[in-house]
Amino acid sequence: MDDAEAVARFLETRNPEFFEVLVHRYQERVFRLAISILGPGLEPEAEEVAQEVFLKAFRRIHGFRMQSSFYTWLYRLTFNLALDTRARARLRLPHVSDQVLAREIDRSPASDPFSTALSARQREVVRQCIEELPHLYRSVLYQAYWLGCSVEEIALTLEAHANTIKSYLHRARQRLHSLLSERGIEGSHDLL
Amino acid sequence: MTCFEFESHLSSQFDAADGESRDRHLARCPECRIQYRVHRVLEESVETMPVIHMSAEAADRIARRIRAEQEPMPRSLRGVPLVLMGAYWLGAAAALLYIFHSLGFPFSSSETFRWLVTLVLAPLSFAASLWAGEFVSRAVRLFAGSGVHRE
Repeated sequence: MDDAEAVARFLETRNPEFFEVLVHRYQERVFRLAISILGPGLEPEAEEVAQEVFLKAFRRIHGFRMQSSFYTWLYRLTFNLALDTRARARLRLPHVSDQVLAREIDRSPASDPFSTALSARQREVVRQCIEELPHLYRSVLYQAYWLGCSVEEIALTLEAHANTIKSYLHRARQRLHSLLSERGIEGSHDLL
Repeated sequence: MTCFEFESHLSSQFDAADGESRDRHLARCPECRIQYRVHRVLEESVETMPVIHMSAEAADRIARRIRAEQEPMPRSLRGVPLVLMGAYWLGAAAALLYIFHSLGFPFSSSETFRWLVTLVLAPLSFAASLWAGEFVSRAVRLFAGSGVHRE
C-alpha cells in the first residue's frame, strides 16, 4: 500500500491502522532527521519530536491534499519542530568552557593522561564547531558520521538528490576546516 | 584518481586497493587534502559516540497516543444531541454575561462602563472555556487510551 492509498483509506474509514502503516514506514527517518538537527545528548527530545510530528500529522491530515508527498509534509513538520526544540533545549544545557573541560580531563584516571586529554579536548572542540554550522550542514554531518547513514539514506531523509548531499558534505567539511583552524586545532594537534 | 572519484570514495569507504591511488591524489591536491583531514577528524571524533536508534518504547508510545486520539468521546458526552450541546454553551455564555454585569466594576459605577467591560470580558471567558473544554477532553481521551494496549 503506497502513501497516497494509506492516507485516502484512513480518511475514508478513520481506521487508525492505515495511519499506523505510515507511522511504521517513516518513524525511523523522522527520528533520524530530528536527532541530526538536535545533536548528541538530546535523544529523548528527538523521540518527543518524532511523537509530536506524528500527532500533528494525525490531527491535520484532513487538510492534507497530497499536493506534495506525505514524507515531504512530515519532513517540514519535523524540521521546524526540531529547530524549535533545539532552541529551547540549548538554553537548558550548561555550557562547558574549555578550561573546565581541561580540569575535568586532568582529574580523570588514565594510563596516558596527555593523549587522553588531547583526544577528549579535540572531540569537544569538533563538537562545538559542528554545532556552529548551518542546520543543513550539521544535519548531513551527523547523519553521515554519527548515525552512519549512506549518502543515499541521507538523500531520502532530507528529500534531496544524492549529488546535492555530496555537495553539502563537501561544503560542511570546508566550513568545519575553517572553524577548527580558527580554534587553533591545526597547529597544536597536527590534525589538519 | 580524480577529485570526483576521491569524493565518491570519501562518501563511502576507501578499500585497501584504493590506498595508493588515494595517497598519490592527496599529494598533489590541497583541496582534497583538507577534505580528507576533516573527514578523519570527524571519524575520530564520533567513534566514541553511541549508535542511536529510536527506542521500541518511543515507537510504542506514538502508536498509543494515536490510538488515544482516536478514542471516542467520554461516555457522559456520547449521544448528546447537538441542539442540547448548543443550548448548554448558550446558557453558559448567558450566565457569564450575567455574572460579569452583576459583579460590577470597582473603578466605576457607570452602567455604560459596566456593560462595556462585560461585553469585552464575556467573549474572552467563553473562548477560554471552550479551549479548556477541548483540553480536558483530550486529557480524558489520552488517559483512557494510555492504559489500553490493543493489537
